[in-house]
Amino acid sequence: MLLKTTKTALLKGIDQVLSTYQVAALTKQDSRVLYNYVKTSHDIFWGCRPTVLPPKKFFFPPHETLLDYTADGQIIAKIESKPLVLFGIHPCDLRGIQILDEAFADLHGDPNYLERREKAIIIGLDCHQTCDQDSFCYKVGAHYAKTGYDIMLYPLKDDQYLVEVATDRGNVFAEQFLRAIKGEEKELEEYQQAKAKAFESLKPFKDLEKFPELFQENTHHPVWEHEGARCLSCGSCVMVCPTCYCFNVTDDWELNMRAGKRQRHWDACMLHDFTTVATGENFRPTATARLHHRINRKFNYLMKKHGQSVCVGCGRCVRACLADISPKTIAEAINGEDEKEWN
Amino acid sequence: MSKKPKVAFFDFTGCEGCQLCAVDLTPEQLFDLLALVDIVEFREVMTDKAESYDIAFIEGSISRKPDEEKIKDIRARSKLLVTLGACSTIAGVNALRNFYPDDKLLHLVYPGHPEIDRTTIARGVSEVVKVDAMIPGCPIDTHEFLRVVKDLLLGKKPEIPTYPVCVECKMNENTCVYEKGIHCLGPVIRAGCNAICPSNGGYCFGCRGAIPKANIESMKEILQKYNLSAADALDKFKLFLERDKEIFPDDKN
Amino acid sequence: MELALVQSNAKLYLPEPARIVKVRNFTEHEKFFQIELLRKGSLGHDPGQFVEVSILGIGEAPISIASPPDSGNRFDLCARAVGDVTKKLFTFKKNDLIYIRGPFGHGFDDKIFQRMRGKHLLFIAGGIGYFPLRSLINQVIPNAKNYKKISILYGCKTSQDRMFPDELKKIHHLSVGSNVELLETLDHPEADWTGNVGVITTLIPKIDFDPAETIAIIVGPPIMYKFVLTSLMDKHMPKENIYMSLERRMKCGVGKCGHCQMEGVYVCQKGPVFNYADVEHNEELF
Ligand SMILES: Cc1cc2nc3c(=O)[nH]c(=O)nc-3n(C[C@H](O)[C@H](O)[C@H](O)COP(=O)(O)OP(=O)(O)OC[C@H]3O[C@@H](n4cnc5c(N)ncnc54)[C@H](O)[C@@H]3O)c2cc1C
Ligand code: SF4
Ligand code: SF4
Ligand code: SF4
Ligand code: SF4
Ligand code: SF4
Ligand code: FES
Repeated sequence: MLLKTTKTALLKGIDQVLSTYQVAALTKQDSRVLYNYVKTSHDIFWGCRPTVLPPKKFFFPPHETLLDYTADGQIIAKIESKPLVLFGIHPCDLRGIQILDEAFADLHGDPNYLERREKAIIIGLDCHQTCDQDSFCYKVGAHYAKTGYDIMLYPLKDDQYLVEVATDRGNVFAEQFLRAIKGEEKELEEYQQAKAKAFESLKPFKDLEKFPELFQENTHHPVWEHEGARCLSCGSCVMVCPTCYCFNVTDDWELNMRAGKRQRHWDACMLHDFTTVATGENFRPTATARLHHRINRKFNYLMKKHGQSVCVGCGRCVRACLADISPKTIAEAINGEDEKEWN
Repeated sequence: MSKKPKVAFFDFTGCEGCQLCAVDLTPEQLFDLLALVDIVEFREVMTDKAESYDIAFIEGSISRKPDEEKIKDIRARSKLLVTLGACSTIAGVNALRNFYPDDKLLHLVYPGHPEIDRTTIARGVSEVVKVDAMIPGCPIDTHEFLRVVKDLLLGKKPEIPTYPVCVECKMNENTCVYEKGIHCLGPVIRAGCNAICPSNGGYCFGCRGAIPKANIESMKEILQKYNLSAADALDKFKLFLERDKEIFPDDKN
Repeated sequence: MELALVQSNAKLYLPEPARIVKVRNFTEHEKFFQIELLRKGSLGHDPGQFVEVSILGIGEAPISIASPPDSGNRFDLCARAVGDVTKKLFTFKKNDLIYIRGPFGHGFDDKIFQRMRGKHLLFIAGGIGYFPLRSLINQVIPNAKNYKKISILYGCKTSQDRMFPDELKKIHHLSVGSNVELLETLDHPEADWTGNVGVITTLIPKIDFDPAETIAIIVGPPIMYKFVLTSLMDKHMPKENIYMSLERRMKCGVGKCGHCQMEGVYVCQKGPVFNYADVEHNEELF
């Protein structure tokens, strides 16, 4: 279903929503732009600016309690979740959410992620141009969101928006909170044509669909050592990635030794001890091998599994990496697009 | 009552700030802690003395000849010996003196007193005796101190992070200070402080020491890329990392 | 590949209580534990699978199930004390409670059992590699008639490192006039040792097997695999006739935390039991 509305109506809708739901959106704090809970629609930062952390933190927080237990053996599986409206999520991050949805629901459904995700309504906001020079969503086709949203907003001129209602949940939501008129398919077509034009010169990776095989064949390409040698194994790139979801689990008693908890924390395959076992053996001991692993998760191992690039090109890892290591550079070396001699 | 593990605190060359941090507890925490252990020696807050200890926490670096004897004696009387803070873990700011030759140093610090005893270079405790666990930081993080105490009592290995400050900094969603033209050692420094400095308008100057296998070469290159001269880049490491052989290979004494 | 998307499993990370009903010391560092679930019903595992053992306040560790599947609610675990969980487990006594998640991973399933039927089974175990293999060995020995022959090669450092010495003795006795044989070797034998001396691969020439009709099953320390595989390749053993259990660092046991992933393979899901032909090109596994 296609509707059309205005920014004013959207803001009003959000203020109404806030009486029933938590709303998280882009906000401005000090000099930072980040996804955060808002108190009123005025808190929303109405622009497109890359955030340090992607919205995954709402479904998979950096630290969370999995179990609460007591010394006398009571154990409770703990999930903290509340209904949430995620507002203004850009295509790359919608892709990221879609991939995490699949990853956490794969084979063994992760209760903590899925329960939070179940309770969320996601309102996307389309991009009609790239957000900065580090992003490369267009290289992997992630500047178009295919799924992963309940409602998608397409910005038109004069603070008007086309509203694509994609799910039943989105429909109930739109009916309840959004004053809108019927949208014309033609308007959406025009919008899409203009967007296609804006991205015309920004081409996808050469041979993107063959990446799994290409990366498999190029395990020993010199680009790995070249980039890996500079890697600090700092883990920043993984922390900020919308499609990284590795975690560590720790147990701790409270100081009174009567109660304790099991928690999970974000972990990163780029960190030196990620694969170290109790005997001291490390199965992936070099920064180069770890970089190879991380990038292969994006363009090979998990790409095979999810049927699309697991790097969504949001550019967060590029902005975060002080050593200037980028999946784009590596991919362009592997597919030969850069026509550079790496030896 | 006497079945509780006996815990003692000792100080060498340091400011005693870490000992204060260790007891900077809420009344409830203090109560819980004292239910777990007997604190038998603690110059900061009490005067009792005991013979042997289950856990000895050592604050301060080893920087005088008599210190060596004293720490060996404490080691011999302690089941577990744990460093408390940067000075005892990596010699801390005291190690700045190691960059100066002895005579120049004495002249600088005590001008006109040639009779004053020479100090040795400042060293971390582990350079003199075996250390069972480390609580780094200048000052220590009270939560980490409590966790290490719990781990030791439970028979767990008191692990401290082997990953760098950037991990915590990113979890805190900070804008990297390099974007503001400030230099930070976070990528090679041991986390565990919850990136307290970059999260509060500062930058990491390395008080918790380098992570194992830190890529120092790349860190230096990055500092230079962000407009430091090679000498200034090296200076960044001087405040806390003098004892790190990866960074400062040759001993000065 | 299609993803098998499933419903949320509320109990995925919730362990269930189980009681230690028997403890046996092997060595200073290795112990045997018999575990009884507090509930009725069996664990429902295949040989080769593992459970995540929890000790509250300490942590979780993956441990292989060392007993064959049965209908009761008991099963065996054997542990080497190396770190937090395993060292704490060592202090546990009869009647103490531990917590269990699982069984997890891919073990010797029906498909593999069908392949093994009528074949010569060649077990190659090094050190505590006997723990995970014991579930399969103790399952096939009572049904030895289903197999052409069962050869068990077992190598340890010293005679103290031999796990389940009484069970080994039984197998030695049994082997007279049956199709079961047990060959042992020690790296550093004591004076009274009458068996073979040397690394495990020195036992391979001592057995008579038709590679095409033999299924080899290997478990041991990481460095053992390379040498054993080379020996078997020299004998022209088809790769798809070789199974092995490979262990990697694990946290969740259910394909989420990423720790066990070697190249594209989640060891906790696809493994720990692998067919060599499936993973021979995985450089991170070998
Ligand atoms: C499939 C599988 C089956 C195993 N079966 C047995 C067995 O039957 N008997 C036995 O004694 N040991 C077995 N191990 C090894 C055992 O899991 C480790 O020794 C144990 O996890 C160490 O945990 P810890 O808490 O004592 O050590 P710590 O050093 O405190 O380890 C901390 C955590 O790191 C991870 N870890 C550390 N070492 C390993 C490792 N080698 N493998 C996997 N994760 C590790 C675990 O999550 C562990 O809890 C098995 C491992 C795997 C993967
Ligand atoms: S990376 Fe692309 S999709 Fe993502 S916000 Fe930037 S322009 Fe939009
Ligand atoms: S951010 Fe850069 S330096 Fe740090 S781990 Fe990632 S690739 Fe390596
Ligand atoms: S790898 Fe980098 S660019 Fe790709 S999705 Fe992750 S953070 Fe974004
Ligand atoms: S501010 Fe420092 S600690 Fe934080 S990300 Fe940047 S370099 Fe790392
Ligand atoms: S951020 Fe750096 S300097 Fe600050 S407390 Fe942490 S380790 Fe020390
Ligand atoms: S153990 Fe977590 S993914 Fe395999």
